[in-house]
Amino acid sequence: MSLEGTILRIERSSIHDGEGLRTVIFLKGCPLRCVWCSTPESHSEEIERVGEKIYGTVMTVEELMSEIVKDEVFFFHSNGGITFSGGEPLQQADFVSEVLRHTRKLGINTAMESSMCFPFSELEKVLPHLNTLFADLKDMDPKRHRDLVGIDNHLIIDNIRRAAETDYPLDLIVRIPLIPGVNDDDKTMHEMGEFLGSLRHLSAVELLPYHRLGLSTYNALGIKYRLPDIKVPSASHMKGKRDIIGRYVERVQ
Amino acid sequence: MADYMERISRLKERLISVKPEMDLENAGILTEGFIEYENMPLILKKAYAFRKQCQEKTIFIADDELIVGNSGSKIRGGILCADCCWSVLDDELETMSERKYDPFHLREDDKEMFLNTVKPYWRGRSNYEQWRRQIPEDLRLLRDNGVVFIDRKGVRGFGETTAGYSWLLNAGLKGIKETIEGRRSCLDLAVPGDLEKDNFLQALLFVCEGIETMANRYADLAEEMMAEEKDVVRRAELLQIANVCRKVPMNPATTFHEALQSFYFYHTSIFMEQNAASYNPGRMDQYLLPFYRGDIEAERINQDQAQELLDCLWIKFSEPCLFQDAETAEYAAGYPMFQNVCVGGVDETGRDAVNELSYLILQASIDVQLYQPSLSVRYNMAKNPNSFLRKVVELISLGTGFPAFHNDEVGIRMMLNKGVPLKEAWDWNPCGCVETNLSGRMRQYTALADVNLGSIVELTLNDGVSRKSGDRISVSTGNPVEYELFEDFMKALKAHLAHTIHATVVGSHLLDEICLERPVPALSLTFKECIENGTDYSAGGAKYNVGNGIIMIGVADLVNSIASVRKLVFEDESVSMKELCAALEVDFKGYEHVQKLCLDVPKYGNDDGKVDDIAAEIFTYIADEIERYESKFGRMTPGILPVSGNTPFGLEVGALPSGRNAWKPLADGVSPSGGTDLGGPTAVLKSVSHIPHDRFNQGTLLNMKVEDELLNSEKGIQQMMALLKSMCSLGVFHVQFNVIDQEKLLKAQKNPEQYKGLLIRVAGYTAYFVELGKDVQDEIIGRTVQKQII
Repeated sequence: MSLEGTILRIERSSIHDGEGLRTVIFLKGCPLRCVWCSTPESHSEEIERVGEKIYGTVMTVEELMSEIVKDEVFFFHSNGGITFSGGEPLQQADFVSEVLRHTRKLGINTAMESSMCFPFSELEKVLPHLNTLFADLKDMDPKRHRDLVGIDNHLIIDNIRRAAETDYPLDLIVRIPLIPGVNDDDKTMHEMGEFLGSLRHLSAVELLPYHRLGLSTYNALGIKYRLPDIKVPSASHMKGKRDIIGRYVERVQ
Repeated sequence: MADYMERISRLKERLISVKPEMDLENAGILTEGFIEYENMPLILKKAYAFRKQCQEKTIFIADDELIVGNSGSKIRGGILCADCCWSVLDDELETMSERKYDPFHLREDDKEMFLNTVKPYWRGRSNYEQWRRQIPEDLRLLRDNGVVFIDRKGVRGFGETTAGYSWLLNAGLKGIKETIEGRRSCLDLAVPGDLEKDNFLQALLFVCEGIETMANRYADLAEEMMAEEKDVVRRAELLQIANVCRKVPMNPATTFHEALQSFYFYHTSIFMEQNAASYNPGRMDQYLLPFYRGDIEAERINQDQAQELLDCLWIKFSEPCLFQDAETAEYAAGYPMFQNVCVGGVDETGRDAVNELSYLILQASIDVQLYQPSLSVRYNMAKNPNSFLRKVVELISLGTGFPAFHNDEVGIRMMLNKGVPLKEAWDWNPCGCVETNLSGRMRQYTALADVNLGSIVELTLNDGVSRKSGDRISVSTGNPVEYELFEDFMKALKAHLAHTIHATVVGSHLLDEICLERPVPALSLTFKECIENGTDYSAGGAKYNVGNGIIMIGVADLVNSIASVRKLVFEDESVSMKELCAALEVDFKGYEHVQKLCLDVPKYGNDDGKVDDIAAEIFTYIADEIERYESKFGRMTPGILPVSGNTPFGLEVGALPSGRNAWKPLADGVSPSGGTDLGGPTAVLKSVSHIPHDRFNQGTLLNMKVEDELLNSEKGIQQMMALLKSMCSLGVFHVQFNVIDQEKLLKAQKNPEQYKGLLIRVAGYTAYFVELGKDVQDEIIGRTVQKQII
């Protein structure tokens, strides 16, 4: 019997989350509760109904594959492919692994975004089928990390290090969500830089500016948005932080 | 900014400050010419009057101009083609200055001249009057109820053609005259048919004389102005203008300036002969190239000077304004001249034809940013370089809607389908909107009539009766409640399509007959085979004669309506046919639940195979049905391009099973209905690729919205290039882009009512912009870049 996964939504022709034009598959279910999360509707693995709106659908590997191949022409010309996002893809690692395996067989580029908060054995299921792994690094201080996302960062730090040491030919890109006044003090930036600089294989680091595009969904779901009114960081602010990380690692975007 | 742009800005400034005006001098001279040459054959009368226009028309050379000439006597004039349609102005004499679409200011003295000179002579003699009187009854019913729009050709002249500019530039009128004389010397007037041929060839000689006289008048004027001119720089420019006009188009052009001027004298001449849209310059980057290279190699001019000359010509392209009746203007609003210039494609060896001039031409459109010329790109994915594609994307990102992007391989196949051998098909050029054409060799009306596909659905569900008028206007297909199977519904729908297409073909044949009395010697002059055959363009003298184009409007409305009927009535049985018909009859009032079900059926434009299958099937049927018919000039041809006809057509159609409310605009071209495509650009292209584009050999038109994000960064530009290549791989023929930029979003925030359907990518999902909270809207606005509108 075919594996099934719970999918929040599929976004086609995205120019984010990897090379080229991409089909981004957002999965449902995430163990973390980051205060800045822009997709609160992805938290639960259950299918949710809010009024007429339904968040989530169950799909088999075959059903998802038939959605993926719809854009194969665009992947070919743009050097694009698929990206699993979430939610947290590792929560459905067997399903994700199977889809990635089939996708790669078709010559389509694969990527996954992960918060890396599952045992390494789950991560190992997907690593052989990935071209790019986007691993989130949210904070270096274990206690503050727990306050901001719900768990401390030991497992995450350990997973990032181990992913950087595997022999699979994949690109590891670490992503840091930059939340002004929350995790972007210079001390944290230096600590992150030091850690990242010590990794064996690291393709690049990306700093992602905070945004509030998920606000409408919080309202729709009736969930309280816990962050105070934070301004979106300016380009110069972003550059300052990038420069700090840049002292430790070669490629910062 | 380059130095030459100062001149271009001044020229542009002057042009856009002028309001379109009726220009009746042309009609007056034509009338006098016909009177003077009375009792002579029609073709000679027409050519005599043309020569008289050239001799007597008001000419001017405006400040800063380097390329001179004008089809009328005013910068932005609408020319009345009295022999075609004098009565249009008569009907609208009091409203022309103020009408809603494309008004033309009409001066009192012009009005008087019209009533005293033009009207008395032409009453009862124009093509349009013949058409109005002769239109068959069943077609008249369809026309009056907005199922078919077919008056256009009665009102405008031929157009929809690409003259043989290249022959003129290289041979000059002198060379063409020699060919004409040579042909005449072979005639024996005792042989049946040779008398007509001789009349025609004599007419061409009148035309040559006329154009030569006109060019010399410009040379004289430039010399006179030079004598008065104080500024030494301008004096030198006037001298150059005088020299150029003295030489071309009589002689072969030898420089870039001469080539452009020779081109423009002839281009204005054919418009002067007959007011019409879509006189297409065609592949300028090919036929102007030797002149450009010659100048550069001889160091006669540098690249900037060449660009300046080209830009000056680009300004001239926006001078003429198409005159048409109020209703036709509604179907093609905005004084649309559709002078389609093309760059790219392949050369006569089938290899990459992109050259340095292709880039200069793209740059001219970037510099000038006016509504004319219509700039088209033939993009051949296998042969054209990425640097060319990139320049095209840069022009797209300006948000002017140009260029129209054509998939070259599909265009070539369309030409093959028109009966042109591959070697010549490689030389095709886009025509008018998105039609296909061949310079100096092809005769047809590419867009003779439009068929309203929304009406077809309505007639199917209303037994051939128009909801608006209550009249029976098509065949009777029975009460839809009695359709037992989906196939029965489709059979009825096809019966209405077949009836409408049949009636339109008959109308087309009639127009072909009427237009035999609409000779065009000036246009015929550069069609070599017209001279060879001794036969005017209008009578089929050209090398390739093609049956007229029948155009489909309301693709998405048709496809979505069929999908709704199939799913709701026959598959799910969630709505009965009786209930659906009742809901449509009252525009869903009191049947909101039915409308909701209709709207929820998956729509064309989302890459959903179950809907897109319908598009493939029904448009194959339509292409088959149109191609069944032959005409005097060849097999009839299908196309899908709306111009602006989807709006007035919508006013004639009641509610549809797609969920669309009554009297609203239909979808344009092959595009999805506004606000129903939720899957982004790749899904749109996939859906659209289900239409058999190659078979609609008068072209298919796709409008796509693209978010600023895809154009304002290096990564975005790369992806846009990949998107265009993908579109070619999928076999979609054409696309043009509307950019959703900051300005548009701000307007939508201010007037949400007018932007209900505006979709925007938020973060991982697509949403209706106006339904987002203000803070999220602001954030999205913040991420787009303000466009510089020059």
